[in-house]
Parts: sequence; C-alpha cells; structure tokens
Amino acid sequence: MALPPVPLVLRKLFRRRIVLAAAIALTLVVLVSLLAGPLSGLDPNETAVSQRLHGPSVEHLLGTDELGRDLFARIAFGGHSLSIALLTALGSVAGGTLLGLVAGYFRRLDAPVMRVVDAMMSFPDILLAIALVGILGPTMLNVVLALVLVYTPRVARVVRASTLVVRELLFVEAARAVGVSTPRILVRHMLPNLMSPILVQASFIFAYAILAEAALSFLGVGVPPEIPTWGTMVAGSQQYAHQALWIVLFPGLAIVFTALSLQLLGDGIRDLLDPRLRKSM
Amino acid sequence: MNRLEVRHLSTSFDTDDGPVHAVADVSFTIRAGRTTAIVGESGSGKSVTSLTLMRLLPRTTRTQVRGQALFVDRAGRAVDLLTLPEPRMRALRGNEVAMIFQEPMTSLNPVFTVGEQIAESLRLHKRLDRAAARAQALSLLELVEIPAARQRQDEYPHQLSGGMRQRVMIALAMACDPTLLIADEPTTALDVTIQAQILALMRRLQAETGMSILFITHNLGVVAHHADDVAVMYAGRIVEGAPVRPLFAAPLHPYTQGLLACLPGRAKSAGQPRPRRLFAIRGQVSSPLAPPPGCAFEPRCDQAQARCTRAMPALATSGDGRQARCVHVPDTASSTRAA
Repeated sequence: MALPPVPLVLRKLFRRRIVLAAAIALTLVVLVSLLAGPLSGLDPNETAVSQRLHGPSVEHLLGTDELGRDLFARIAFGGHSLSIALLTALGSVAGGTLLGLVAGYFRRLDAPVMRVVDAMMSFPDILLAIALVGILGPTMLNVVLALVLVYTPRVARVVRASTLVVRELLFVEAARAVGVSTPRILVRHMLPNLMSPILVQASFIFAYAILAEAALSFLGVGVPPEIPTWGTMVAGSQQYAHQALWIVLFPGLAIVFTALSLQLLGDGIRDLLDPRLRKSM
Repeated sequence: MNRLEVRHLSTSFDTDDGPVHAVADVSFTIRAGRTTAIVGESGSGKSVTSLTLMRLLPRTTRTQVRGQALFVDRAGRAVDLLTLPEPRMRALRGNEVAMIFQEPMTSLNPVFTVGEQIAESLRLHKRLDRAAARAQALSLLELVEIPAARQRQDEYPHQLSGGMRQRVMIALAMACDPTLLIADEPTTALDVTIQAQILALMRRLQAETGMSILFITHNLGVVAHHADDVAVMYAGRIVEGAPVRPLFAAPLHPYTQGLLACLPGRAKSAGQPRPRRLFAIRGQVSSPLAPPPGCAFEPRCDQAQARCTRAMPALATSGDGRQARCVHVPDTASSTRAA
C-alpha cells in the first residue's frame, strides 16, 4: 500500500480529538485484555459463593457476580469478545472483497454472485446467525463462522460498487495495454484503490461483531458459558440486575465503550481516506 | 517494409437499438519507422480502430470484429493481431506494441509511484529483477527528459503536472522498446506549448529507435507536421488516404476539402481577404444507427449528386498511393475496384 508515511497519517487522523480519544480507549481495552491474567491475578471462573453479588470493593474492583466470580477479571478476560470480533472482521472482509471484486469485474459473474449475496442479506442479521450457530453448535469458532457469513454480503456489496467505478478508470485499460494479466490487474492495480472502503467496512464490522456476539450469547446461542465474553456476562446475570445492578452494568459498559470507540475510529479513517473530505481537514 | 497492414477491418457493436458499425472496411498501412495518422472528428471511429488493434475493446459489449491486421514483429514474423491467442497478445502488448492515451491525468494508477509503474512493464516483459527494473525506469525517465528524474521516480502521479504525466506515459510505453506505438490523441488534453514539447519528444524517440507510430488525432496541424501518411475517417470509414504532402496540397474528397477549409490560417495564406466567419461544414454527422443509404457524407456534401444517395462509393485508387471514397474521384486502377 502506498500511503504517505505513518506519522503524517496519524497526525491527520488525530487532528480530531474524539478520534484520538477513541484510539486511546481502544488501545486501553486491548492492553487490558492482553494482560488480563497477570494484571488481575485472578481466575475468571473461580467461584466463591460466600462472596456472591458483592458490590465494588478494594478486593473486587467491580464487584462479584451471582457465583462470586470477580467481575473485573471476567471483563478483562472477556477480550475473547475482541478476538471473535477481529476474526469476524478479517474473515468477512476477505470473503466479501473476493466476491465483490469478482462480481464487479467479471460482468458475467455479477448477477449470479450478487443474487446469492442478496439472498443472504434478505435474512435479518441476528436471525441468520442464530440459525447458523443452532445448526453448527455453539463453539467460539462456529460463532465466528456464523458472523462471517452474516457480514460477508455487506462487504461484497460495498466492494462490488467500488470495483464498478475503478474498473472503468483509464489506468486499468492502460495496465492492460502494457500487457498485465487479469488476475494481476485485480490484485495489484485495483485492490489498492479499493482499500479505503474496505478498511472502513472492517472497522464497522469489528464493532458490529462485538454487539452481535453479545446478542448471540445473550440469547443463549453464543459461545459456551465457560468462556467469559461480555455477552454471556450480560445474559447470565440479567435476573440479578434488580439486586446488583453492577453485574449487568459493567459488562454492558465494556460493550458500549469498545463499540463506540471503534465506530469513532472507523469514522475518522473514513474521513481521512475520502479525498472529498481530505481538503477540509 | 510495412510494420502493420490493416485490411478490411470492421468493428460493430450490437446494441439494443440495433447494430452500430463503428468501423467499416478500414484498410491502411504503417511503414516501418514512419508515422501514419488517422484523422477524424469525434465518433468517426478512430479510437475504436486503435482499441480493436490492441484488442482492448470493452468486453461488456457484444462486439464483432472482422478483417485482418498483419503485424510484423521484431523477429520479422507476421502475425494477425485480430486472431492471435490472448496470452500471445498479452506478451505483445507493452512489449512490441505500446499505447499512450489521451488523458494523462487518469491513465496512471494513483496508488503507485511512477517509477514502480514503469518498472512493472520491464519486470513483466523483460523479466528484470527489482533493482535492474528500477535502474532502467530511471534511465527511461531521463530519456523522456523529466527533470530531476531520480526524485520524480519516487513520486506519485498526483504530484506531477499533466505534461509530466504524459512524459511518464511515454516512458512507460517506451519501456520495452516497442516497434509500434499507438498514440490515441496524446496531446489533446495538454496546453499548446506542452503539446509541442511532447510531439518533439515523440519525434526524437522515433528517430532514435526506428519505431512506427499510429497517431490518432483530430488536429490537422499536428498531422501536417508529424505524419508521413494520413487516413481521413468519416462515420467509421476511411474517405481519403494519402501521403501527407499531396493530401494537404490537393485534397480529393469533399470532406477533406471541407476540413482544410475550416482551418483559420488557410484562407489567409491563400491570399484571400480574411473571411469574417470561419468556414464550417454544414449539418452534423448522421446517427450511426440510421446511416444514409448512399455515401455517408452525402447529406453534408456541397458536391452531392443523385447517384451519391444510392450506394456507398468504393475506395478508389488514384495513383501515387492516393485513395478516396467519392464518385468524383476517378479510379485509375480499375482492376482493384470493388463492384
């Protein structure tokens, strides 16, 4: 990729304070989940029935849940949500880019590919994911698979639309006039010109996937209960919410905080890469 | 020796409103080391001719191509560009036959440095490694007289001016030392001083490398200075073909006569009082979907006769390598005349 040198890009990106704040918040979330073990020194699944539903204290920073498990440790280990989201974003961007590029460039494949994509998009997202996990069984990998299938069509649509624009640009014809083969034109000449919409989609899907995983876990078709994710935490503790608000509040806040940061960061990247907005920044 | 011999080339597109004959029965030759210009107004089929020869017509349209285009490569073998298998055609493109486009602003990829883009062609056709291709790209940029080439090599297209970009396009085209350069209105998007520089550059490169040039333009001034042979196209057909001097001295076809009469300088140099209004050929080009039954130029021709409306005249040969498609031009080589 031929972007200007990194520091300049970052300086432009962070000229808007809110984007800088989002980036810092996200770094914090990632750091905490990476260092979850050593940081809390706690086992997220260790139960202590005598200490159930305790409020925030020095011993338990964010309190304990209905089984006496430390909430901070569980939220920190809930970084699993992040890896699910990351894998989902990578998977659906890869699949969607391939489909969109092929559909946009080869006119003959356009209708067949896009009708399949449309069919997949016609299902409500969460319903499709529930059905898929229901069929495949609730494991972390299957949740990722289901979410990839849900989000791939979105990426495919966006990439196809951009491909239709880029393929008509003269430099593509010029590349063919130099004797470049079709696969090479797609990968070397067109793909770099599609990076901006693709990156933006990736950032949005990352955020959506955290919410979707939470929703799936909440509905009981997410990852198995022994893996702490923010979604399972909200889902498992909802009946105790009236006695101990914090056990719903903190994982919920973690979701909102992370998703919001990602959206803001994605927004910033979009503005940065859009040439029409670049001048005004 | 003829570098390229195009015989009876026809390109038509099937549209929802019926077939459009964009190029019909076009024949011309390009001599080795010489320049043949195709002149015509917008929509006369000159760009379609060049794209057909390069086999770069958009694949989205239903296209029919007939005829022959015999190209003699470096090794002296003759191949038909229109029937060559795609992999061999790809090996020819950018290597033996190169092309430069009208719009230097959009024909370079915005996300690569100009050096990388030139190097790609070298690595593709000459199998050079990265370092060698880079060094060669630099010398090509110097060849096309780009100042501070070493620095420009690592710049992106948007950092260069239009004239500079067209120089890069020429460097890209010259990368593999082509035997035929197809230049599709290479100077139309540039201002006049830059035009002159680019044309001088192409002339110099032609003299140095001995390549042939197919020059597509609507600028008669450029044709007069830079072409050896000229083919004038109207509505998809060649209406007149001749070496450059006799064509400008004594045009045979009424369309060519009209075109030359349109030139502002021409009336003056002929010693006439400067006309108040410039001459214009009346009317406009007929729709390609509903061509007139006879000569395509007949509705706009001041010398039209009744027989002009009946059938398209054949391309008559009238000595000294001249050809014209008009009933007023007698065919001196009657044996070649089509029925």
